Amino acid sequence: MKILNIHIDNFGKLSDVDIDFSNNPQIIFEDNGWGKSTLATFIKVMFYGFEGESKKRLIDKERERFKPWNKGIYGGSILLAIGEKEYELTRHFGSKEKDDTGSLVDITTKLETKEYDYTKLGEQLFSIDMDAFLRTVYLGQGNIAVHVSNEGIGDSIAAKISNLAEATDDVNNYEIVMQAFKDKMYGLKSGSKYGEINKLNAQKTELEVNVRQAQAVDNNIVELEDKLNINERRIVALEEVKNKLEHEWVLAGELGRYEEWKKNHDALVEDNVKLKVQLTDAAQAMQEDKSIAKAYDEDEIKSQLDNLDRLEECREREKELEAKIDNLQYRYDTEVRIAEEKSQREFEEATANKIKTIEAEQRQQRNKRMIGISLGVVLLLFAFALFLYAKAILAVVVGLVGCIIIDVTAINTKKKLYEKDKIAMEPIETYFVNKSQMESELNKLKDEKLKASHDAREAESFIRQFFELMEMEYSARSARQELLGMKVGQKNQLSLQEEKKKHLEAVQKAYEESCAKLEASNSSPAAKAPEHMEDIRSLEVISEERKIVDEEMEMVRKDISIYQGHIQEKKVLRDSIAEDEEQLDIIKEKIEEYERRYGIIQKTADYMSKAKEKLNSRYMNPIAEAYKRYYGYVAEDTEDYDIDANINITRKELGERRRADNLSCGYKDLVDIALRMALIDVMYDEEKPFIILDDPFVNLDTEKLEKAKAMLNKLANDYQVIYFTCHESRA
Amino acid sequence: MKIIHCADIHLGSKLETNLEGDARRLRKAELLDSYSNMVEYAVHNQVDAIIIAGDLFDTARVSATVLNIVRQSIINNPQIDFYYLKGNHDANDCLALESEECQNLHLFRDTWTSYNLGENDKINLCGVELNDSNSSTVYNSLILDPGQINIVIMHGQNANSASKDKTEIINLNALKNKAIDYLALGHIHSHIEGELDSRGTYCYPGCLEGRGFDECGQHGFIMLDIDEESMSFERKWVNWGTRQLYESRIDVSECDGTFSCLNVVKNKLNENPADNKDLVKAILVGEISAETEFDMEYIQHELSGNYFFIKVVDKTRIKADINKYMKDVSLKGEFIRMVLSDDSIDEDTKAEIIKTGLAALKGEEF
Repeated sequence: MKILNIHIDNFGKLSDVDIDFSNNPQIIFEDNGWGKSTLATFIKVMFYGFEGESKKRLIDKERERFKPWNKGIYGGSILLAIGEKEYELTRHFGSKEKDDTGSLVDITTKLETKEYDYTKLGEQLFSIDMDAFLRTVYLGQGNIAVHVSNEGIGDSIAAKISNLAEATDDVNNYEIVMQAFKDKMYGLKSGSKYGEINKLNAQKTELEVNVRQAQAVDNNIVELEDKLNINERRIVALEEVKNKLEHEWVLAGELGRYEEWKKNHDALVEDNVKLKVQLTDAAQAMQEDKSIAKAYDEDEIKSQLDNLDRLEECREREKELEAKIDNLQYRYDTEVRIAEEKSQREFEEATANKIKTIEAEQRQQRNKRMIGISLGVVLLLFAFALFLYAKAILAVVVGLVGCIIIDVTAINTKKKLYEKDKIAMEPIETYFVNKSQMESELNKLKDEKLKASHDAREAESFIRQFFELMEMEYSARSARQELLGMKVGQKNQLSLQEEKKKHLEAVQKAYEESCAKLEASNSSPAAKAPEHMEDIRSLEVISEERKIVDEEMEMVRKDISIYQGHIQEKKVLRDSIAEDEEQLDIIKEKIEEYERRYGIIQKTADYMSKAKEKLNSRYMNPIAEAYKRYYGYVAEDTEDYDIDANINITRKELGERRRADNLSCGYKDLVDIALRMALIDVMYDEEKPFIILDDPFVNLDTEKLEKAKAMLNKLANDYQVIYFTCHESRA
Repeated sequence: MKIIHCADIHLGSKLETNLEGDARRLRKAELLDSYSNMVEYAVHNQVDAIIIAGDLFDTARVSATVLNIVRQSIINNPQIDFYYLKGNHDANDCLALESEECQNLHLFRDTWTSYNLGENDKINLCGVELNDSNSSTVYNSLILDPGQINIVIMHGQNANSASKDKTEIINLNALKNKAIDYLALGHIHSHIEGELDSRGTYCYPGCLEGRGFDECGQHGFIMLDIDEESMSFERKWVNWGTRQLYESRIDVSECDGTFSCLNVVKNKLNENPADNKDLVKAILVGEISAETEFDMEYIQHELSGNYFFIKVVDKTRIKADINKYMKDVSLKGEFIRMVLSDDSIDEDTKAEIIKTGLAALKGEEF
């Protein structure tokens, strides 16, 4: 493949640049700062795109670094020959890869070719990726530095170029990478205590020691809980015993109280019986007295004395009345006899006359009354006539007058007649009244006498009955004396009876009190005898036993408290172990993860090692041969130099091959260039690439520079060589 | 009457988020606090009962601290009844003793255990702890009064959901038409609910907090508000987690470097409602070229200020384009070709080896 022409629209500091590549080697001789490196990058980007597209920092992104300074169109085109055909590769770049545009046009047909993908043209043409491209065909100024030492390889590209491994960049990193793997694995799992896994394992072991106790602690807790349970059950049993003892204690107390009660109660019963006998006796005595007292009843005696008084009084009155009757009877008899005897007839005549006179007057009065009544009737008739003639008022007046006259006349007449009758009857009546009065008086006296006689008999009958009751002979003469005697005896009896009554009452009261006490005693709580009295032990025995139980309970409680304390301690320990168990799980997970990671790194190291061996076997021998050929262009002692398995340049010294670390700078550059050429020969087995040399010979002296230039000319036979330099001597 | 239904709290659980140091301790404390805060929420909202449908604890061995927190929450709130049904993680009866001391702690057995709630016992709370021997027979023995509001509690895997673990299966079909109003379930760590039959619903409330990136999203519990007069109830899911966990798989195939990768990751993560109290895991996937360089430490560092915890995992693969390196006459080319063509290792390992090798060749940290 050959570059024919380059046009840069804008790329970094280069703007609107056209370079023709008709010479080979094509020497581009420009001052420092012109943009030679930019041009070299442009060529690389056109074939491979930008580096560092996925880098975090903008400065690491090549796309950003080479943005046109003038902000014009970013990109350009390359006219190139592949085999017999010519193509124009055009690429313009946006801010991101997806914004890029471009084409690969067949110059003959002017059509975009389908033969190659313009975005992967480098890889398709050279069968090599961008990194390998850079490591081979691009010989940058810094890349061919004089420092040959292997020291500080990581920092200095110049140092890397000293061996072929450096040509493939990462191959040179191999030792570093392998060391890094080793370090990492050592960091994870060293033989010492410093490896992460070792540290974790140490922690794990420590925790496992604790965790191993878990089962023992659990068992311990179970054992302690069993013991605790036994003791708790013992406490329950002892409490039961204690309760029984308490109950028995109560019963014993009750028994004591019952016995005390019984004693008192028996005394009460005895008293009560005695009192009852006394009461019966007293009542008996009272009863007997009562029958006696019946005869000598004070009221009765008094009543009989009254009866006696009444009897005597009635007898007296009877006598008086008898005298009066006799007297009155005598008068009555006398008067009747006189009247009958002397003036019966005269008297009757006079009386008859008087009656006649009176009757005459009475007739006269009747006539007067008839006239008045007649006048009244006339007036009434007149009044009726007036009424008929509609003189109502007048009729009423006249009527009323008539009525009044009739009435007044009638009343007056009757009154006068009566008064006259009365006067006329007086002497007769007087006679009859006197007679009648005397008869009546006589009868009355007789009645009174009869009553007195009856009362006397009644009183006497009462007295007689009393005496009969007293079974005594009644004698009217001695009755009063008897009764008065009884009265005196009765007073004495009453006094005695009163005393007996008081005695009875006292005995009664005492008895009632005794009964009340007995009743109270019967209803006393102490009256009930405890059941199974015979089984109840004495308070002393119970107390002794209670003491023993209390002591045992205290001991068991102490044990319980100790067991609870132990269990609590063990549980705290168990919780702590549980924490350790959790921590152990975390550590195990970490160890597992680190082990896994260790395995990954180990595998990675294995793959890396195998890749290295494969790479070596594939490229080492061809590279060694090519190297010798190229080195022969610049030196004669080709047999003395060789390449080892790690693509290090070695030199035969005193029969042994040693790394050629002590070459002069100039020599080393030549060796390195030869090495590069050998790599290009081996790696680009299809389309031969162009070779870009960015002023790589700055360290060569004139002799070596000439040899280098000669080598370039020979190289140009097989490759298109693009050589940048800023110094005329190297041009 | 108000009832909280929660489950799968897993107190004392280990963390699976790679948190370390103070953040780990803080997060562990938060998991415990989350339970205590829920009880405080119950107190504040006059809740009458809390149903814990299994897996209150993470392991059979419960630490003294955890047990004490639970014990105190029950003892200090005698006005709230705690109904605790053991799950597959709650292997031992660590609360059995407490139930003797705490009148307000109610447990369940391997046969149906019922509790009547409400002023007139109108609410029936009924539960059973499933095991190998009873898991197929419990359905027939469940007899409920249709005149009550029936809440049934169980812990196990829904038969309709795929399961890898050995947890007992809950046969929802066998629970249909049993007069269940609300089937309070536990075991699945995300909130799931659905219709059981024409009368009832079933519900997994999910866990209270996400512990690892396998428990992403929001977490919380159910609040039931029951009107005993009308014999009806309302339920609502209460979003509770102190922090949320988010995991995103982000395809970075189109990214050509760390910056573009960071932008893509940022944009993708911003699609989540995650903020600086949340935990986020970004898994980078896709195929990238061997030369593409993502500085994972830098990306992680740049994102770390946005979240409580961020973990960026590189799971990208190297494009297996051997041809691209066929013409690379270099150690790198040889190395890549060799790794890519080795069929004895998987693609992830290949990617990691190549990334390691290239970083080493560039003199970068690997």
